[in-house]
Amino acid sequence: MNFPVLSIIVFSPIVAAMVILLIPAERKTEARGVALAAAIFALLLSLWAYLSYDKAAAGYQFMEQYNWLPQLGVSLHFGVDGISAPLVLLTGVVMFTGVLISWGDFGEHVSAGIQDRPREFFAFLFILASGVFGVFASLDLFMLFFFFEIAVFPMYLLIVIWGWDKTREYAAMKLTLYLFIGSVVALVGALAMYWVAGQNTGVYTFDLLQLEKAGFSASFQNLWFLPVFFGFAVLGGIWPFHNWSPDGHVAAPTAVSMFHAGVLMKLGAFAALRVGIMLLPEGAKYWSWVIMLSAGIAIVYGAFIAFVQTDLKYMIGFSSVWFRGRVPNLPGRVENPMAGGCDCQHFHYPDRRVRDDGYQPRILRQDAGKI
Amino acid sequence: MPERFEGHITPITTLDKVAIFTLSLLMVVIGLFPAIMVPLVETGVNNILRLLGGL
Repeated sequence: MNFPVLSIIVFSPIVAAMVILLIPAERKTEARGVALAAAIFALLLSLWAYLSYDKAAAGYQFMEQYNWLPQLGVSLHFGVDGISAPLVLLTGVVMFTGVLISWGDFGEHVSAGIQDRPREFFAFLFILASGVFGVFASLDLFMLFFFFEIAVFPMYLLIVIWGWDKTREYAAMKLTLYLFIGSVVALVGALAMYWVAGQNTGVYTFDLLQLEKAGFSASFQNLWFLPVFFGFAVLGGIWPFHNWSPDGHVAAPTAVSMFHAGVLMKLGAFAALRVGIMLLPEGAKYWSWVIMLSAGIAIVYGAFIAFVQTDLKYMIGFSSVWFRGRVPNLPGRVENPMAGGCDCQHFHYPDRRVRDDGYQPRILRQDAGKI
Repeated sequence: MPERFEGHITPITTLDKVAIFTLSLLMVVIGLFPAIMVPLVETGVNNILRLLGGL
């Protein structure tokens, strides 16, 4: 079936957001209905893409490429591999359940969903979802960064308008500052890679598949790995740049908190992996001890801090910091085949990882959000 | 229910149940049948391990 499934998955939430914004403000049920329909549509498509992935063939599949700015080497290049395909599905699931949780008025019950301006809420939520889908599917560094920013920006609005009124402004600003500063650092590294790859190969391109073959020198990789990795991994809640995360969890409305924990933090780790590790593997090996140290501290520190929390959402937030420490351990330990083999279990047994970080905390956050 | 929670905890709705059931079902299914996801993720991870010299 040769149809642009990834483009549709990525852009359908934005189209849905625009449709929702055209609905009159007083027609809240219709806005919710359109949101639910769009979420179901994205979920079904992402499920189809997941089930259709050819494991035997492996590699990038469902590839699409459309020139965007050929003079700069920017193209809309989509493709998923074994890591991003489940993440696309995960985003679809979270989108669907997030819409259900945010439904708001429900007959005689007034649930903990979104009663105030659901139209705008779902529009911003879907812009966020579109950004997330885009990062997971993108094989162009410029577009990956573009979608990365699209995923960050709506978080500010969603938290500051619909969040917990005691801390929402503080948490939203803190989250935004951390993530934007991290992404600026990563952008500088990305531009450095673009420039040097162009000098090495004679072709200036942001295409990730071509950048993988750009032949970056070991010294270049050692120099730029840390800014690129940590710049993206800030969104993944890596210690010591994790502090925005628990405040964001507490202040965010339930569906946003579900997105935050279940998808957004994976986005950061994924981008760090896709750009930092896959493009700069020598740098990853050279700085593996830094990643391991950061991850180890996050694991211990996050656990202890989670223990002493009296607020359920803060406890979940810090437990996320703890778990985020486990994820970077993989590239940090891969030089030791034994350790790498053990740690590969996080990926080899994604059920545990998905249980521990993808779905279980999302359920906890959902329940915490109801309280 | 403790008095301090009165008015703060709302009744669970049908849609909440659907959402929780969906997430729980996925969690349980993947936990019981990891083969649904493991081979797929392995293909992606092996690529990274090859780059890092761990394979």
